[in-house]
Amino acid sequence: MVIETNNITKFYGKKIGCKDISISVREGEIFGFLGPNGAGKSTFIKIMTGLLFATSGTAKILGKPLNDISVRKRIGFLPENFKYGEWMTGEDLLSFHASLYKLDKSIVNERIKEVLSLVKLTGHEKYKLGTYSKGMQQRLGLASALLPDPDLLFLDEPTSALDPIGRKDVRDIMTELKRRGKTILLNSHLLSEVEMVCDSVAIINKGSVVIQGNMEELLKGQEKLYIHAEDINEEIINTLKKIDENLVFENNRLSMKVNGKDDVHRAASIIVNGGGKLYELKTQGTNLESKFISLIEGGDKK
Amino acid sequence: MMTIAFTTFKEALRKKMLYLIGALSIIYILLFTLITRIYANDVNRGGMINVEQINNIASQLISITGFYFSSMLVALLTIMSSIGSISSEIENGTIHSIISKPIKRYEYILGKYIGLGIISTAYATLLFVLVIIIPKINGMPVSNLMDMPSIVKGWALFILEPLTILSLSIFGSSIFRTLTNGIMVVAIYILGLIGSMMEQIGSMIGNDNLYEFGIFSSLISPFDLIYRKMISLVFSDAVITNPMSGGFNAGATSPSIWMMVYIGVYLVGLLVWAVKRFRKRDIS
Repeated sequence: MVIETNNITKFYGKKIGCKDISISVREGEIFGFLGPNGAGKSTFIKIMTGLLFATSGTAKILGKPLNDISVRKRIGFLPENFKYGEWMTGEDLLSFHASLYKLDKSIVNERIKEVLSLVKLTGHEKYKLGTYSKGMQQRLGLASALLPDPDLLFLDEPTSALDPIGRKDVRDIMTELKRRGKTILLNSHLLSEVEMVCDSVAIINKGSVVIQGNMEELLKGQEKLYIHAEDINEEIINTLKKIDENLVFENNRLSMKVNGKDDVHRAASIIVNGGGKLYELKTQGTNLESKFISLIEGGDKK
Repeated sequence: MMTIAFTTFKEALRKKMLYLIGALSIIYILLFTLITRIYANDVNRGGMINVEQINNIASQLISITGFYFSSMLVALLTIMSSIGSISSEIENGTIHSIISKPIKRYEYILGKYIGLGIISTAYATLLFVLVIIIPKINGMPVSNLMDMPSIVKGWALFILEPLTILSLSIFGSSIFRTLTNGIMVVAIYILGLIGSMMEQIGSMIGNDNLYEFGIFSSLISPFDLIYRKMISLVFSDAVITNPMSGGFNAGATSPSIWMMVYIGVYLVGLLVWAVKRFRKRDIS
């Protein structure tokens, strides 16, 4: 495992920052870390990156304990609000961060060119950061995180200031890094984005992990099928109940849960073979957003 | 550590505050030059003072005025450049991308100290040299009272004062918010000026309470002590230490060697304390 945490807990005085967070992130996967504002996501990432100290619990990153700073040479981190002095140029900033990473001087210039090209900022490196837009600053922050060609990347809201094209660019970068075997822990509010790129997710609420696992597994078995048909008789309904005994049929409209495409085909066949007239059929999978909302709202009601 | 020091140095050089203090320094140096020229002209005309001893005292007063206000300018620059050196980076989040790199936290603190220390030392050296050279160029008799070994020792103490203030300011900046730290450092600096004056008055009129208050405040704020030691070294027969003291005998209140040892412990101790606190500090 690239990240393995065991009951990581952080208290700010009596206030809970995060509680008993135990997650495992495999090598080469993009792991989404989700939760509403104030859930404890940033607290957790700050513990992982050495900014905060856990009150209790243990963790290993790339096989090393949290207090081993040598491992940080292999970690990239884009903080939520990446900032640096407006007096610096983009190139100054990257040189500074390359020095902090203790990169070999012979490769620094080449590496800076590579990361600038990767985040599409080539040609802007001579300008002062004060002239950069928010999106450009975020791209530069990502470039800085990529400087050491990290094995593990922590991205805290990496696309919050980007336009749709910028977001796609960052998604593409993440996908490319994954292809190269890098591991990414992504903290994002943009659930559709997480759904698009993440292999696994953990959803956190009020400081604790509510659910975690493989993305496909989490969303599996949640598809809904909507049918508009006429001449639906009792026999058809009874046969369809073998797929979902809780199906609802009203005003020639039928809604039921299905497990995969085979069930969709079966339902359509049952209606047509039973003499029903099928006009419309559509499926709607449960997306991450609806799963997220149901989990968070469910947790809040408890 | 040197990466942090170098970047801190470059950042401090680009701050507008530095230009403001630079402009103040130019005005101050011009005024100082003007005073010394007027003095030298009047002495040469023989129209003002012609008794040799009084002449020496008067030229010494002008020179000490130069050192006194120079030390204040250096303290101002040091305080202004350092009060937010760590706290402002925590407040605006800049520190997140730095501390998460493979550097130890003590390297961050000491890097800040070295970077800002170089600025303060360079500025203090410049003013010190000008305050020595300008009276010499204008042929003031005070120049003859200073020998090279004394000047070198004086310079070492002249830069020790901002380096000690810096230590306090870095310590405060690693714990408090920028505004709180600014108020604290300025208050402690002023306490030292008042305490020093109390100590000298107490010594002169034989009032133990005033003298002890002065000593006590010097333990919290030893900056003026360093300045007084510097003056007592540069002018071995100095009769005053600052232009506000109104002619008190500096020799009687010149800081002891133990006080100088205390100052060394104060400087290093605050830095060590800052490092120890910062090593365990949550950066949220």
